Amino acid sequence: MIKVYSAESAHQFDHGWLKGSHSFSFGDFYDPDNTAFGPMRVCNDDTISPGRGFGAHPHSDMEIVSIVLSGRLRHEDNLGNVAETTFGGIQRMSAGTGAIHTEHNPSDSEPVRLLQLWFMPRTRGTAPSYTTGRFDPAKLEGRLLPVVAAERTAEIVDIAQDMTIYLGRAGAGQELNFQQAPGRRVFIYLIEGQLKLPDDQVLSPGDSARIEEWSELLLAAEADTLVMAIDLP
Amino acid sequence: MMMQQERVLVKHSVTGRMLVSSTDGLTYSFDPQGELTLITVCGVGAEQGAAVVGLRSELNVFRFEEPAGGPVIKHWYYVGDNPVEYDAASGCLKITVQSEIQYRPDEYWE
Repeated sequence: MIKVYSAESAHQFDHGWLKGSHSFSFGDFYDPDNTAFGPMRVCNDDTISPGRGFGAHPHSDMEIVSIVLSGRLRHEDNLGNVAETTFGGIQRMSAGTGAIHTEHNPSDSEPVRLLQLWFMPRTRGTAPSYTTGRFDPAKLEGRLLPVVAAERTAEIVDIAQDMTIYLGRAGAGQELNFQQAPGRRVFIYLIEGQLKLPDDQVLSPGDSARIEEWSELLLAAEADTLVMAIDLP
Repeated sequence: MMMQQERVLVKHSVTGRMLVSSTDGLTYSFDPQGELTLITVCGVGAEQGAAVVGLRSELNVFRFEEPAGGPVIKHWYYVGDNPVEYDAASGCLKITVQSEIQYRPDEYWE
């Protein structure tokens, strides 16, 4: 089953300093029928104006991943972590029993665009932690590159959930192939370009798809495409 | 007992929706119980109480100290899997919390 959510159906918002869309219920957008996909709770495509951001606020029992698409994102937390990431960088906070953090755009001229993703952890009540990682953007070409997964490697950030986040680029006419294991879910979010799904539905930027019970996913780029795919329990 | 320049808030941690605010004429108390603390908020309507209980695993519970002329001090409480109960007869919400983080927003980027 493939269910497509168009960019128009996502909650588009413009707070001046913060613009973007929420794929799931978030902030003042509440749809009781759209609160989760498996352990996934949030997919926000945020653009933050220069010098602006989110002040100190808490989180708990949530795995929070921030993927910067352009610009710079600065994180600070009560655990003593301070980090800035650009495209190629990944931030992951395991909120556990509680963490206070801020996120803001430290640039005085350039907006930052990021995907912020929240997932329920495998286990609640763990100690909070924060980490960053970096993948090589050149390795995205023509493949789905794992950038976040349960096991950490030199180019993969670890997360406390049985899941993998992939990013991939494909030129027009190229295909990206993904094998979906039985009982798993796949969430797809199109960042740039145009992508045809195996049931011939076509995704445009900001569209997402929630896929279950589809063993082989052939994703056909119809334009130069940047896509995120998340394998979930 | 409710104190001046202080309020207690219960929010949904994912959407940020306000579920209960003591500024709506509610009373509250904090009662240490060993390593836990029982927060009781009374005057809560049945619908509000049911909403909090329904979201008990995803709550942000705050106490804001807002002294006149001074910096705001925020206290955030971790509920975890501890009991969250509502008694419709008394209109009281009982939230058991296990830990607290105190922070001053002005000491962070804002």
